[in-house]
Amino acid sequence: MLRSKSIKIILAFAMVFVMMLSSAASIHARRLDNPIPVFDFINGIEEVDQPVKYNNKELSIKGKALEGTNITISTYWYKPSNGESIIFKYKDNVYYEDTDGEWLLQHTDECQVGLSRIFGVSVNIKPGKNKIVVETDNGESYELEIEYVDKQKITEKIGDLIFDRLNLEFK
Amino acid sequence: MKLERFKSIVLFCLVVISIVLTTQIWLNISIEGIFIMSENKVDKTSELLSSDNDKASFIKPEKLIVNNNGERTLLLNETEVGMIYDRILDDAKDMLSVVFETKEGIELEKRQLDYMEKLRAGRTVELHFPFAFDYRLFAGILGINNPNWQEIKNIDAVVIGYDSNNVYIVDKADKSIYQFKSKSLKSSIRVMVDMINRGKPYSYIFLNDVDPERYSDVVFIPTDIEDRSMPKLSSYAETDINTSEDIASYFFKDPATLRSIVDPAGTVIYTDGEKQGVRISKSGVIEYVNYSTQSRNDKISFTIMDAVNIATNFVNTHMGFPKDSYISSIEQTFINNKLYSCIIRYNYRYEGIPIVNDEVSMDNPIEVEIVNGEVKRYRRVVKTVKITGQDKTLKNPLEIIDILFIRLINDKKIDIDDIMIKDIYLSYLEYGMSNPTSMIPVWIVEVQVEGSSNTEGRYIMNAESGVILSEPY
Repeated sequence: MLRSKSIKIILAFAMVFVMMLSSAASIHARRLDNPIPVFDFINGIEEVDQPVKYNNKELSIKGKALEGTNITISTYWYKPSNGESIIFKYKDNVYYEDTDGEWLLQHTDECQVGLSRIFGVSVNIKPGKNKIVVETDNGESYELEIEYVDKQKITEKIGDLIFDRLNLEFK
Repeated sequence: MKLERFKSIVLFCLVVISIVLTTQIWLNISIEGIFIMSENKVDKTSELLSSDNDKASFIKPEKLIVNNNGERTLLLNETEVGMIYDRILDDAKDMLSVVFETKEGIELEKRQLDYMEKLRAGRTVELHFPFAFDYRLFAGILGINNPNWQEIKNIDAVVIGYDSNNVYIVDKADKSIYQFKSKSLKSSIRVMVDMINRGKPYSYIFLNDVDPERYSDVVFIPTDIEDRSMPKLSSYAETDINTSEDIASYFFKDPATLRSIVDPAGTVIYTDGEKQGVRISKSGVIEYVNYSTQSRNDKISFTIMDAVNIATNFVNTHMGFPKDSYISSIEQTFINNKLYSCIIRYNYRYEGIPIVNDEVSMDNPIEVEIVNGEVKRYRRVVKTVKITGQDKTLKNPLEIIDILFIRLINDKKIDIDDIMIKDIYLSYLEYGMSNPTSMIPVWIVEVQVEGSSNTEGRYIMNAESGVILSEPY
């Protein structure tokens, strides 16, 4: 009888908790609308605050360079030293930099710029910190840090947090 | 004890429902997305001619672009996503109807054209129409005869914010964007976009973001199309499927009383000897002419809305429209500030890709000319399309643009700085003399060249090889 009552209390609490947390996650996700800059090797790149917050798995890299320039685009993902952390990396509104992790190369793409003077490539990024390095064959390069918040992962995490810690047994 | 167990199950169900609903509301994951909807696939291999189209269905965008916080894609009216495409279009039209009809509770804010950049950076859908619709005509086609907000003159595009449900009307000639905000504006576009994103759509970029001097604001290309291909099609003309007598019977009550002539090229001409005639060519062009309209009293008053009604009804009752037809242009002639005649052109698409016919005299497959409120001329060259089973790979549009630049710079001696790419898009082009005719995927590039009018216009290039198949001259 007592066990049944406590399950009900836990479930009711979970319901309220999910509503609050998912609302907060939504607000966090909606703010991530910084545009990705154009990688312009002719006129220079526009300065942006880094890391750029982003919430799509796919990222379009576009840029401008002189005809014949070979472009290499590399994507790196930052593997934190303390494992994957998506939601709880902010504590008391202070961002704690994890300096012990490492940048892992994920993908490299190459293209040659034609008369259009434009290049465009789509890359996939992973949840967490990512770095995009766009290099030309004459040694110029741009780096952009992107923080990808995966809304799907947040939902899963919320679910895990609730249900993993509940030992649901119905008599 | 049983009651306690029942209560626990009910509470558990409530928790699950709360998770599903909050996920749907706050994280944009649709219920349809969670519980996968089944969709009845429609067989599109045979072209269905429809004769019961209402005129609102002929307002279709040339491009439907979905922006999602920096990522964007082009949504084509394909079988796989046809339901989503239609739903977005219907919702957009419903929202526009609310804007046109209601003034109370709607806030209007006029913005500059450069606000488009902000709209594209957010979560919006853009509907780019094939030409600038007259505002009153657009509202009239949607069934609203006396719309509000008559300060708006033209509608080039409509943008809808699918989180805010704000509606934006783009009038390029006025260099303005009209923003409409209201609690009464509701749509399910967010749910539809969520379903699109689950299908891993191709990423696109606007080239004017990179070089606004050389590319117009609608040059929109996929970044990665290595794995993408399009089927090669074959097509039959309506004259291959129907006999000349059958076609003539659409235009004359009693074809048996008609006079007919066959010219050396095989074109059959039917005439009633006084008022009307029909030419049916071997290539598939069908042309109806009403000889009597010009001699009629030109004091008859008619509006552009009347013309659209007359043209649509006429095509509906004279062989019908192909699937996915839309109004592609309207040309008006005024005499003494009064509408004298207008030509309404219609285009159609196969799996969201427009069809370009090889008939040089007709850019659009269906044309109706209205003079003094009557159909003077009606021409059509509509094809029945079938899949051949052969696929064609697609060349990256940036490579296509490079090939075109080489042609213009090296062969036509044009300075690259004088070239402006107005648009680039995929189409199907009839190619070859065989019967059935082949239809191959092509890239169409629309170019504007400063100081060289004979080189500007539409370049048609083989989408697989990049070979230029047709160019202005």
